[in-house]
Amino acid sequence: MKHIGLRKGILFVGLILGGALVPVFVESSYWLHVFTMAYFYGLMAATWSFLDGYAGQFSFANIALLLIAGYTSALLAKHTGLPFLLNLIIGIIASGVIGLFIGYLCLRFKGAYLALFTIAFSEGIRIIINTEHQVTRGPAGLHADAFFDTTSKVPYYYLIFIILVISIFIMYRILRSKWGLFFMAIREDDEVASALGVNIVRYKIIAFVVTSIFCGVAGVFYTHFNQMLTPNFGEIATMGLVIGMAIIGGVENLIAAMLGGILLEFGLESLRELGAWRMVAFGGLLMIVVRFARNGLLAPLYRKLIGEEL
Amino acid sequence: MRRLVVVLTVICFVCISSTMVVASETKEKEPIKIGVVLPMSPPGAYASGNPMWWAALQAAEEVNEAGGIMGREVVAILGDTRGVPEEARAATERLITKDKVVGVVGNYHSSCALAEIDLFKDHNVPYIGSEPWSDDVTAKGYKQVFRISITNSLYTDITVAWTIAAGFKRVGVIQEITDWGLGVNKQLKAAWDEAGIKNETAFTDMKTEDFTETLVRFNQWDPPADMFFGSITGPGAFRIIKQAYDMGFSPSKKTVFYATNSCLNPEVWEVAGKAAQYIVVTQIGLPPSAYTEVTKRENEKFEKKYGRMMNATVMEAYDSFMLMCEAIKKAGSTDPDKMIDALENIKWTGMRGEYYFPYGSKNPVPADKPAYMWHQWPDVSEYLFQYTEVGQKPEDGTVIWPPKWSQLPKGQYFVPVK
Amino acid sequence: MYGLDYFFMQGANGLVIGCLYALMALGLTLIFSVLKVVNFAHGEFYMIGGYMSYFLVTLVGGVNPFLGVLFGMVVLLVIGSTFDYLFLRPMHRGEVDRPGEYAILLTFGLSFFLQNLVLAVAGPFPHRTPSFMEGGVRIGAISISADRLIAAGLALALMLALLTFIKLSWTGMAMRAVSQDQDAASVAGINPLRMSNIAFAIGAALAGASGALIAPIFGIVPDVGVLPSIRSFIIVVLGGMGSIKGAILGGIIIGLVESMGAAFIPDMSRALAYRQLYGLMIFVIVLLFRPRGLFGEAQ
Repeated sequence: MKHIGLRKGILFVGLILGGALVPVFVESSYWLHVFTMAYFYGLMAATWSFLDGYAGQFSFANIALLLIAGYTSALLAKHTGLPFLLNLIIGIIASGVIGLFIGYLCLRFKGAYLALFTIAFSEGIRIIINTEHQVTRGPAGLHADAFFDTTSKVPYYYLIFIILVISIFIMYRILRSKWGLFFMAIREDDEVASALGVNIVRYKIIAFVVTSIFCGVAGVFYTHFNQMLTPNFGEIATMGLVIGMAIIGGVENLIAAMLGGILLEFGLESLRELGAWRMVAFGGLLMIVVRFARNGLLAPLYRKLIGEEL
Repeated sequence: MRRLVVVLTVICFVCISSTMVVASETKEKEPIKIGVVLPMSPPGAYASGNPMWWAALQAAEEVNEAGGIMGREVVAILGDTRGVPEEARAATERLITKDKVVGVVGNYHSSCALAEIDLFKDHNVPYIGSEPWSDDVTAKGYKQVFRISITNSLYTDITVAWTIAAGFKRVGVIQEITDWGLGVNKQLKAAWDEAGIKNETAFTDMKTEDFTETLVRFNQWDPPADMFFGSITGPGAFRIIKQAYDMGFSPSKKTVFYATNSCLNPEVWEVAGKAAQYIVVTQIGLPPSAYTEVTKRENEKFEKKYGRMMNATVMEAYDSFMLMCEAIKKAGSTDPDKMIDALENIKWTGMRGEYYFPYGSKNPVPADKPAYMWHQWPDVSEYLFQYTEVGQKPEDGTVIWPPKWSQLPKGQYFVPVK
Repeated sequence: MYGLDYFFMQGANGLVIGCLYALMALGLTLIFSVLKVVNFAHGEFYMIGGYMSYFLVTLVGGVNPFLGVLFGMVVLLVIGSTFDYLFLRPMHRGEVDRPGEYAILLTFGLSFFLQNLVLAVAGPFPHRTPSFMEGGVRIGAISISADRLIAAGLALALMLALLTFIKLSWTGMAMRAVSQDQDAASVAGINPLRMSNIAFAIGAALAGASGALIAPIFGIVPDVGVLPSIRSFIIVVLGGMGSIKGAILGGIIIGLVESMGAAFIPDMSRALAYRQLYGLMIFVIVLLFRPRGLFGEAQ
């Protein structure tokens, strides 16, 4: 046991220290931007792993929840005089509330039905945001204020880095706790879990709410980092990207999924020259991983290094 | 076996990625890099963006054949905005901070341009807008931003003038929800309302396949609409013409069909066929009667290589790239402030006329002129033409407006359907 | 203004297009029925059907458009069969923990792959296959283009052919057996792997046929399948997953709903824009209140 704890500790400290030192070594504003987006995708991939890898709920709604938080925050800023931080918090809460609502509606759904329902929800949100362009400015994009009054990427890098570390830490603790066990029981067979006394209603909803809150956090970050939000970002293709990242990393391992998001975002960025072929490769990779390496590419590595599952 | 496949895949992926990264980092420092931001893939208007990119490449090639600029090679570097403002920002960031371009040209989507200009300001990089029409692009008055395309306001003014002259009293519009579309629609509506022209707009998502029901609604008007504006770009642009025609609505004897400049592409004949025979299309630029030597020469070259003629947006891409090169030549340096100064004083003849920017830091926009005239080429011409034969090239269509170029007899403002 | 004539005119269009929606949804429901898989690449099969038809009729040239449809179907039979063989076998063999999710991920990856492959290879420009027949038909107030009528007619014919095949042929009965109980079927001597393969291939071919039939009407472009894909899910859920009757009826209903929504909602600034939302709303309502749909089995 001690060995595992030690190895984990070294890994985590190593990652955190490494991450904290990146801006010292990387001066290029461009690469810091890439790192920032990579951490963002890492966070999104982790939320998907949390909901599907651990709680067994295959949901396409994560991106829509991100949009909800972002639009709420930006619209509040536009139409009310509320303080910046409050807008962010309200945005995140909005996501959480909608997540609660979806979780409740999805209680009776499993597998494909859950996926389809959440696709319908996601598309519905996107269409509404697009069509109500009087309010949201539709595809022209809604402007949002920046976090920091500087062109440097460094503060943004640290902001998302801190957000990522804290979010992963919280999710990790939840998954290692009693709650995590309940999630996994539900994932395996929710009828059996219920028979064994697990309150599946409560924990399914909790899983959705926690996920939505973190999607909301990612959402407000994305919105105020890019200083703009468009409904296009909520297309199924974006969600597919996040799901792919989590799967390729290793959906049943939070850290592996997060690293999958980070590394794949780097990979996709570096392969820009390939144009549409990048996505062809991504789709192909996803299919190959699901077919031949169901646990993902990074999770087995993690297990080898650390000696246990997350 | 399984593991081997996985390991090999991962190794391949990592190798390819790192090679590309290393390769791009070790590019020579010598060439002059100019960024070109365009929508090259969905959800952007990639059907427009791709030929614009080819035009920029053609320009770069020519400059290099003539010996480059100051003895250095010119390289066009692409940034795919995908028509999404966040992507546009990211692409521009990359061009500026990673590729270290000395100037940027391009944009088709206004929303993307508007998302990018703050970056041009913050990093002091000169930008020439090829095709973003939103007034705000230049109205914001950024020192780095220039534009050679038309603005929404100018476009609206000319279009409305035509509808009034033609005597249209009832206009129906199906308008796609995009940044350009919404801006133009708002202004058209205001102008038509003011002129007492009845108008109604049905908004739609860009991806809509079937407009039939809504077209039927417009077709029910009594008295009928005399003009219908199918304000859709991309694949829908051709579909809507076909659907409107097939039901006998427009183009027809009673209702003139006004189309977007997506219909400058030859695909319009493949997809819409006979339906597009009498549509009215706007071209931003010079009518064939006013083509310069440059226009003819470049157009021929392009057609030979790519199998299609350059339409207005494509010419703008060519011109903006060349203009940026000319600015560097004139400034004798790639220093941004010197380039900006050169642009403010430039006079250069391209495919669409002689470029100059009357209003700039030395001559600010006076109060009685609209704010968007800042760093705006004032002689952007727009003309409306009508296809009269199936399979026609835009150059062979009949010019119907403005009167100074119109090929129609005086007092006639469109070609009626036979 | 909104008289009976108007109602019939708009309704006719919805009905006709609904037949084509139904054909595609039929493919999806067949795949679900036999393989228990929701095919997230169905829209791309539709898209490729259109492109293959275009390739044969326009690029190769001189070929009857009807053969283009056939060609599209054949290509999709091959693609469907190959994909099932390469990727879905472990699932059929019971080697996968969570087969539902496995299938979703694989077909989703396939959809990404195919859409971008076509974009990379064929380019982004929209195209259209030549019409089956020019002109239109006028019956009273209703006027419909010949293309749409022919496409709908062929769609109905194909659906009828499939129904006959399922009900009367040995393979059809074998597929039904597998869809009801895979283990029992294999005990009875039916090879479920083979039946699944055939079902997936046929399902893909039906989507391809739908795409090829619609190509002269709506044209083709790499992402032309995105909307139809979601629409197929809606139809299949509405009709009942695995129900052939349901898919056909559902397709027509959704065709009419989209049509009627665009035609009758008074707010012109939203009526058309929300066209997809009407179907989505029905989808959500069905899922919440009667998840088995019109003809599906109770869960």
